[in-house]
Amino acid sequence: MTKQHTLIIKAGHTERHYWKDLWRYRELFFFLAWRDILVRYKQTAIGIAWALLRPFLTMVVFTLVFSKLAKLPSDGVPYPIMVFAALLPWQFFSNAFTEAGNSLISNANMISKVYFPRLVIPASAVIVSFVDFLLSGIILVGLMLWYGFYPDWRILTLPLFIFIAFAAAMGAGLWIAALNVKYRDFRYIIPFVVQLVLYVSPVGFSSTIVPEQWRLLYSINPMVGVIDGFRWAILGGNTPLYWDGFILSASLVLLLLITGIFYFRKTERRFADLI
Amino acid sequence: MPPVISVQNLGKKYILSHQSPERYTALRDVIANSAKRTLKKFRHPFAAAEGDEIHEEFWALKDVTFDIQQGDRVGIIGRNGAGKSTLLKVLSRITEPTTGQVKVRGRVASLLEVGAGFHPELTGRENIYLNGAVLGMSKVKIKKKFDEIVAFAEVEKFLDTPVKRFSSGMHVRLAFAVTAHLEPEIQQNCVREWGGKFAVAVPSLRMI
Repeated sequence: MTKQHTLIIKAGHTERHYWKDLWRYRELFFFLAWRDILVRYKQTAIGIAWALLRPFLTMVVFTLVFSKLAKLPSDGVPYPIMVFAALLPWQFFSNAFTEAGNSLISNANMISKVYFPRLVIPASAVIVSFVDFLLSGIILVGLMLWYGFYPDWRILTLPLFIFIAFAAAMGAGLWIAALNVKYRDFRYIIPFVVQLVLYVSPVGFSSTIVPEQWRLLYSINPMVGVIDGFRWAILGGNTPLYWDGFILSASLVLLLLITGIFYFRKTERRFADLI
Repeated sequence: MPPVISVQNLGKKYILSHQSPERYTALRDVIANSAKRTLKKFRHPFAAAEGDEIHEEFWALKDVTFDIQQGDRVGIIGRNGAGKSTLLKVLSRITEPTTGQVKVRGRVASLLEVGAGFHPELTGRENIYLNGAVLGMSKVKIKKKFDEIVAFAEVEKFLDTPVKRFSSGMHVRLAFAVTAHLEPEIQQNCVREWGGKFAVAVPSLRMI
């Protein structure tokens, strides 16, 4: 017999071994993410190419609308590159948020039949979107080669901004996933929120067009900090980072993540009864 | 030697809601009522709907106390809705109890339903790995048991066919094969048999 551990189950008893349990189920993370990636492109003709085609076409449309029609400035960078540097974190966030938000509902049969730390489900949904994010990074590299635009040392700070994007997606995803279990209204709120946040985030345009006195207020949207960070790291000195706003955005992301984990853990014990 | 599973005063409460009976249904009333409810929903979006629903407490388990020693094989028999599955759900941590407590020594594997986590679009091979992981098996262990599982389920020919194209018999055989090859310290099975009017569930606890 392997090493013994005694488990106590009672009402309102928070699991002391929760994080250890989560570590024990780490392979499930991998398997669920792997399943979702496999399933996503089953019975499709062009398969994984969808992960590249969608961001590419969005970039083309955004460039045409915002640069050619609206004649917005591009801070001295080829407009497609500027758009794509923002589209990368944005698509990662919106996909991860949508997938994680619906993940518990679509895995209802597993939740009501087997025990495992529920955090595994939304987390693996975020990981799936992260794989798409890495894939569409190839397009950015292609664009940079095409325009002969090369990043400077700032590109080395990119992992930090990726981490912030990850935390934002995870925090928002956990909140919505947990709320969605009880109030299915959130299923309809998700696409609506994604659409709204896209309009108020500097995806198709540079946040330098926002008047100086409104920049700090604008940064209340956590995606502003994430996107500006990505642009600063990828486009080099062309887009100076507005630090006050960035710090505000980043701390809001951190708050979102911490409260998200807290709320999720508080409600997850009742998921099986509610779902 | 202390018991492997020790259950004390376990209780599980559910809230049932009933619709209050309406004497007759007219479309006019339905529209009027739903408009009223919608208005109220807007004013108190997260308040439980009152008035038109009656809430009733239902104790699926109440004051359940027992001990199970190492090596015991226990059968729990009861009619429909007696609380057998609820007990298993509490023991396997799927749902939390309302009162009382449970002490468990060792790792529990529960088999409330075979094939939890099966995905119809995935192939037999992929589902074996996925289902094994859902049930807490490590990848190494699934690999070691893979041939045994396939032989047990007799689906060698269809390993790379999506499970949605399996016959229902093949589907159940494969699902059962994975769960049968789990080797936990404590195993809970819930085998359902249908006979006559009642569906009888016979959960059993087994120590390995």
